[in-house]
Amino acid sequence: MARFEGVFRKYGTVLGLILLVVLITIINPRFITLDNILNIFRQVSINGLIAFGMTFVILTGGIDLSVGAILALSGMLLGLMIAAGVPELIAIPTVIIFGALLGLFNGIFVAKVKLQAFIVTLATMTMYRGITMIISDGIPAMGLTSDAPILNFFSQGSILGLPFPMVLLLIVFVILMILLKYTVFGRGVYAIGGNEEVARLASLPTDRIKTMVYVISGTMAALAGVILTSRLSSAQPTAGMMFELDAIAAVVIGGTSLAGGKGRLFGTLIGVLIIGVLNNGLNIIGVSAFYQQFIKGLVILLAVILDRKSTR
Amino acid sequence: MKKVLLVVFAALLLMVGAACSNDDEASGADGDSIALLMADLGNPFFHVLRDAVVERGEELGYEVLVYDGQNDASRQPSQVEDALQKGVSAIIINPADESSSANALKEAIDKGIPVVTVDRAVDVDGVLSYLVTDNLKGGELVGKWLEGQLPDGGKVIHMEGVMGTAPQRERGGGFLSVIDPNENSESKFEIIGTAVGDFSMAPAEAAMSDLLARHDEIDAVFAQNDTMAVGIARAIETAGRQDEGIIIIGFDGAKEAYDLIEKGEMNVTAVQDFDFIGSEAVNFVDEYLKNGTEPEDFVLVDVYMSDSK
Repeated sequence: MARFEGVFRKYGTVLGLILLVVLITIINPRFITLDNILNIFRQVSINGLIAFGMTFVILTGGIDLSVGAILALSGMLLGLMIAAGVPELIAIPTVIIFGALLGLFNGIFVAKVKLQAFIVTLATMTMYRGITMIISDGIPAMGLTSDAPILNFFSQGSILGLPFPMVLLLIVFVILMILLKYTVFGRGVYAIGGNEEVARLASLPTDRIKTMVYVISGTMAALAGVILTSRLSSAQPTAGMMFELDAIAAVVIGGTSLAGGKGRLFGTLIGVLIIGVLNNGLNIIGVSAFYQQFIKGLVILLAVILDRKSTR
Repeated sequence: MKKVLLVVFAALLLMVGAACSNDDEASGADGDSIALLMADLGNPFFHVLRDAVVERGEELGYEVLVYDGQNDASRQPSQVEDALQKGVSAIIINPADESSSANALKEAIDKGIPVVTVDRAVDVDGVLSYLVTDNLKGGELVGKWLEGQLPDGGKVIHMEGVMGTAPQRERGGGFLSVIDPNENSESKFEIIGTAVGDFSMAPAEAAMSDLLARHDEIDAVFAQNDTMAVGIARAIETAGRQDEGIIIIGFDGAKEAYDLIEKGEMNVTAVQDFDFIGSEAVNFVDEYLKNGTEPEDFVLVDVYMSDSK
């Protein structure tokens, strides 16, 4: 039964994605060109990475509102380091580790100090945004990729004809999928979201697991920050505004329960693609901006209603 | 655990200390001082306005206290109160919205302190003057510039800012009144795509890459601010279409736009004369304080195209 339910969940969102693709293609066949499909994958890689991290957090019953701020802060730090002449092979790993530390800071307050994730990450979101303004003085760092071929590769490069951000997204997906499905840690993530007390009594290291999911989330946000910085060839102090909401939307569309304990990474990938296809498709078929916002909201609502129905 | 908390609090205290010492520097208002309240110094473009006010203020012998509203309208009322506490002689404010600081400014006006608003009005009576860029005329100017570049017309993309804001409506309205065949029957142009870039780089870049996938032929793009124009230039580069000669037009006159124009990756920007607005605001205050001269209560400032000066 549970297995059947899982299959249904999975195909519900996939069907939604296929329906959307068919619909947009009928209206404007240019949607389905190889160029545009690669363009979509290049675009969704940023939200995708953040949403993967967010999936772990939400599975434990938490939430991470600070991801957009972590993206901005690590992107800005990267921009300042590159502008100051730090070799990119040092700068890039440094900011990814820095993102992990920002996540660790969140995790400690959630898991050890036992504050609510919503409040902790709301506070750190504000703090991280503040630090971004302090270190940048509100000034963006521009023209970063002209002397930084590796950083440039993060958005413009391709492997076997596929854009590098897409390849990176898929590699990270596989790694996190294995982590979630086949390790003690992964089972612990589900167990905590299901019932934390039971998980603790089963002698799972709940505090460590809970801390770890925020570290993953922070790392993913920083990695997304590297891609965005590369994409724009600049670091914007106000980057990543509202990115947390796009990520949460993708996770929820993908069928992960905000109450924790239930959901899949694959669903999040589909959710990310639905949002990406919608953003791109509405531009391709030339829907006016006012309608775009309305339609996006409607799709999120429909996806959640469908998901509810199919799991009952 | 306690150790962690202790470290955190120690760090916090240190930072508060650092922040306070900054405040002290600013509060030594002996002679005449002017409070400058900026809506959002996170936008580097407004640094031009701040620098113009500070420079002109210091030239005329004022101390300028700068406040940053961090794009949060609820901060500004308390910053006005703080400035009044410090006994400033005048207030120049770039309001975050039209109403939040109205009551606080009313208090200042009642005390006889001159208030000049720049770039956005505040819903309160008794403001000495309000200086703003003529965005509508600016949009028209962009349209006419484009007509001059492409006398036979062409296919145009219009990248809009945050929908519903005054700059979006006015810059877009002015531009369309010249370029859009629906509004100007003489126009030989065709608007092949309109997208919303929210005045920021990442959304503009993403929307532009969608439009590049949709259209094989694009002659010109008008972005309602420079930040979006930079994102558009990057999207064109990513799509490998930088050699098609797509004309990119921005608005604001930000440093990043000038940099790209110099590199040949962007064509032109409609410059808001913040240098003029900032120094003129200080002049108004100075004249009023010294001679009681009241300036015009509403001043529209023209933009100019970056290639015209």
